[in-house]
Parts: sequence; structure tokens; C-alpha cells
Amino acid sequence: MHGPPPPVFGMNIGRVLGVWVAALFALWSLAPFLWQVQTSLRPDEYLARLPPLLPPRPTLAHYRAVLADPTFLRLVVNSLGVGAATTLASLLAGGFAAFALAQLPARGKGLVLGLTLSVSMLPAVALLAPLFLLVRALGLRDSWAALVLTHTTFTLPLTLWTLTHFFKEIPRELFHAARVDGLSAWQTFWSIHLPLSKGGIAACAILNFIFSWNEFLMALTFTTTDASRTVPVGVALFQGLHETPFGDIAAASVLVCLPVILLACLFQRGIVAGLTQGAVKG
Amino acid sequence: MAKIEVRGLGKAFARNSVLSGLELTIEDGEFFCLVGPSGCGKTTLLNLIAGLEEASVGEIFFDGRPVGALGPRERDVAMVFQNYALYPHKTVRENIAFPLLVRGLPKDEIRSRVERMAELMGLSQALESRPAQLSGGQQQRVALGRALVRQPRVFLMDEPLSNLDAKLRAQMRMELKKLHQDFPVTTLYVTHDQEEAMSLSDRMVILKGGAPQQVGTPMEVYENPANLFVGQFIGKPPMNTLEAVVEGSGLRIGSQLWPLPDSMKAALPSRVTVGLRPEHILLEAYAGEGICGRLELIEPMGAETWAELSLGQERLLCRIQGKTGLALKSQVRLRFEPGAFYFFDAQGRRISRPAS
Repeated sequence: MHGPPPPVFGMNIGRVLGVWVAALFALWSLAPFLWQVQTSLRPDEYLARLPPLLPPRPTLAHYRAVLADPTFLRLVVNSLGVGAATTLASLLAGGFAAFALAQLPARGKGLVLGLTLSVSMLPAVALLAPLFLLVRALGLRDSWAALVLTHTTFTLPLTLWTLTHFFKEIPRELFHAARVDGLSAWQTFWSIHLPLSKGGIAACAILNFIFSWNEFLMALTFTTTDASRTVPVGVALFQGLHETPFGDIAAASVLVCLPVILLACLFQRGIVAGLTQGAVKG
Repeated sequence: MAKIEVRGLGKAFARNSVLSGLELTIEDGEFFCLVGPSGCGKTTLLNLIAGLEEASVGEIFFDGRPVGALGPRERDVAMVFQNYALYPHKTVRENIAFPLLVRGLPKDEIRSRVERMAELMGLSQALESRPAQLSGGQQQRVALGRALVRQPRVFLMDEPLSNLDAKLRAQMRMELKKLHQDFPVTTLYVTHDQEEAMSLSDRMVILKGGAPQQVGTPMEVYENPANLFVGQFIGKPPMNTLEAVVEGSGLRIGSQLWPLPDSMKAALPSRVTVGLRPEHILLEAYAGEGICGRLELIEPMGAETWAELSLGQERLLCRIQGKTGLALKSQVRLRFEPGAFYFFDAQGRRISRPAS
């Protein structure tokens, strides 16, 4: 006899286990951030005390202090500027290169892609010293340009690879149709390839911006004053004369994380789709 | 409109030669088909004429002027692609208007020309839709409209009907023919379907492995194939071929001797390939005389019937008007229309029929 299938306990156990593992993983990842959040809300006298685990009288004093500090605002402006310029530079350079690699006749395409990928595997630490010498020789120390230039070298490979993939998805016939309709290759790039790759370009832009916003090592090495220092470096260097203002640092860290978290939440689906999906459907 | 001349054209990709030493002349206003099996270089030739690819050697002339140095825009060609290549992010209106917009025509004129074209193509209701919302046939019409709207010198079509279902394809084929009668723009049409080429062309070229096999009107090519390849490629069902030895009073095919007039036999080498079109074979019940075969298969098509015969090892396909009236598996006698025999030598070249 064929009755209804027996409930599959194995699957339910698997699902429950999955949720628990995911929750544990999230807790593990989020713990430092949550710790920062609670630290930023502690009044000064409780900063170095444990228990209590949670601040007994949460305060926004640290946030007020940080936001009132002109130095912090200067850092934010630096970070925004460097991030935006990095994103733009890497999208432009990566976009043009990817278009050429995907659609135009050229030799050694595979070599170019392979080299950029291998370059991107070098750890930043290994490149720091030569890059420092280069930046100094160009007279770019303590400038946005130094950071934009170095950040772009690190964001470019991923951008190039992603956009090449996207442009390759655009059928060759479409490129031909545009050429026959009277467009130059350059115009085809702007009026066909860019609009059809919006998703991938947006994903690249966000990833580039987040990289630049979070980047610490180069920002620390190439900057010397608040004129070009970015937020992560600036916050790490928040130092009083006689004490370390842990509360302010925590508040600043939380503030710095907010735009990144916001971007990730808003565009999470877009980023995943952008990186995996084709450009042209149907 | 333009007359197109192709002189000594060759194209190689890496070490792979796709076309070589091609010579063609396409008259002003002609509907000219490039037909051949896939990989014969017909799309490459189209791309070369469009200026989408550069020739390795040779030159193309429009109205006597070389166009090799010109890009697709300067050549003023329009093209319809196999997959339509509509801009997915643009509406039908924007798609059709695009070539005009690129050329900087005034807005009012673009609007009126697009709307006139949409009406001609039966797309007036769909102007604000995007390509993905349209049926295959409608997308095809948009692609045609986009190509026709700017009145190009040359119209290039790369298998434009091959993605449509059979019924729609036949319908669009007629519409294309009508369109060309109304707008007699020089048209180059690539297809692998000989039926399409036959029904549409003023003239056509049959290509094989990048080399032209024959140029002519559909009837010339059908009635007078230059070689075995053309003979078998043109016509449906395809031409039958039989290996024959010339002997005494006729041809030895399998175990039978087919009688042949001496005048015909004189021009033949000792071994020939005989080409027989299915529609040139007549069947009747076998009464102990003449060439005999066995009826193996009957396919009724309605107005005609396709019948397969076996003659020893050989198989022959016949195309008979109406019904056969013959029993399956019975012995039948073969008769032939006058001039039914085509002879080809060992290299597949046509042995021309002596004047009778």
C-alpha cells in the first residue's frame, strides 16, 4: 500500500542543525562589532569594568564627542573622497580594458587576464615597501592621490575580471548591430555595453568603495597628517595625551562601519546577483 | 543602392583560411543569396561586406569604389542578424529609431519614419514594448524595420528566418520577397536552406568550404548544376546518385544494364556518377521489361508521394505526383523524364551533355 510518505526526520534535524550553525557563525562574526557597540554606549567610569556585561546607564556622550570633533569629520571626508575616486578610477580603467578584452580584436587577451589575476594574489604587505618608495618618488606622500592610485591597483583586477565576464555575455551580434547602425566602438561601449551591464557595474562599484573605505595598511603608510588620513587610520590613532579614549574610539568605529553595513544590506541581493548572473536575459 | 563587386577576397582566422580568392558581382537592386552548409564562410563574407571584419586579401567595391578602408557606418549598410540582435534595454520605438538617431536626423523626421515603418511591419501596437515582451516573429519584424528604416545602400541578412517556426518562416519569406519588390535595395541574404535561397533569390551563389561552386539564377542552378555538390545541395528531396560503369550499350548499375543512347555515351569516361532528380523518375508496375526496382517505402505528402526504391545495393528516392497506385514491396519499372540524367566524373565535376 502507498500511504503518505513518513516524515523525514533526518532532513528536519539537518535544517535545525543548519540554523544553529548559521547562528553560531553569525555570533562569532558579529561579536567584536557588538562588543564595540556596547563599549561605545558605556559611560567613562564603566569602560574598564566587567561586570556588568551591558552598560547600566547607556550614554551617547561618545558619539556626541566624536561627531563634534572636526578632525573626525575631516577623516570622513577623506575616506569618502578617496573611496569615490578609487571607485571611479577603477571602473573607468577596468571598464575600458574589459571592453577591449571582451569585444575588440586584440592579441594576448588571456595573458592580460592571467597577469592581472596573478598580481592580485600578491599580499599587500609584500608590495608596501616598493609602493612607499614609489609614492615618495612621485612626491605624493600624504595626498589623496597616493591612496587613490594604490587602492585602484588593488581593486582593478576584480573589476576587470567581473566586467570582462559581463561584456562577454553581451552577444557579439549586438555589438555588430550597433556598429552597422552607425556607432563607433567607443560609442557602443557607452550606449550598449554600459547600460546592459548595470548590475555588474553597480556590484563592482560597491565592492571597490568598501575596499577603499576599509583599507588600513596603505592608508597608514602613505599618510602622515589629517589632511589625507582616512577614517580607519584616524580612529586607530585617536590618542589622548595621558589616556586612550576607548569610548570615543568605539563610537567612531561603529560610525565607520555603518555606511558599509548599510551598503551591504541595501545591495546584498544586487551584489550576489551582479557577480553571478548574466547581463542579457531572454 | 549599390552594385557590389568582390575581387580576390580572402579571409583567414589565425591559420585557418575561411575564404580565398573569392570573385562575385552583385548587381544593383538584386536579391542575392549566399547559400551553403554551415562553416562554408557565408557569414564571414557578409561580415566582410558589412565592414565588421577586415579582409586578409582582396577588395570589395560598392559602385566601383573600394570600401576596404571604410567602417560599417561609412559603408551605409544595414544588417539583420540571425538572433535579431535587438537592443534589450530599448523599446521597439527606440530600437527602430536608433540608426536614425545615431545619424543625427531631426526628431520629427525620426518620429514619422519610425511610425511609418512600424505600420508597414504591423508593429504600431508594440512600439512601447521591449523586445523581450514580443514573439519571435515580432522581434524579427523589429529587426527588419530597424534595418529598412534608414534606406541603406546595401541590405545584409544573416539567416534572418532560421529561428522562426516553419509556418512563420514561410510567411516571413513571402513578406521579405514583397518587401524587396517594394524597396529594391541590393540585398545579400545568407542561408543554409536551399529552399529559402531558391524561393527568394534573383541569383545565388552556392558556397562550400569558402569556395564558390556556382553562381546563377535558381532555375539555372537547379537545371544545370556545375558539379555533384550543387546537384545534391539544390533540390528537395536531394538528387539521387548512382555509381555506374559505362559498358557496351549502356550503363552498368548494380546488376542491371541501363540503356543509353550512343550520342550521350560518347562523352563519358569509363566510370561515372549518375545524378537523378527524384522528380524525374516515373514508376509503373513491372512487366518483365526495362529497369526494375523494388518499392521499399512510401511517404504520402498529399499532393505528391515520396517513394524509396532499392536496386540491389543502391537506393533511389522518387517523387511522384499524386498517389503511386503501386503496392509496397512490389517490383516496379523505372522510366525517366527526357534529360533526367546528370553525369559527374570522379572529382564530382559535371560532364556536360552533348548537344542532341
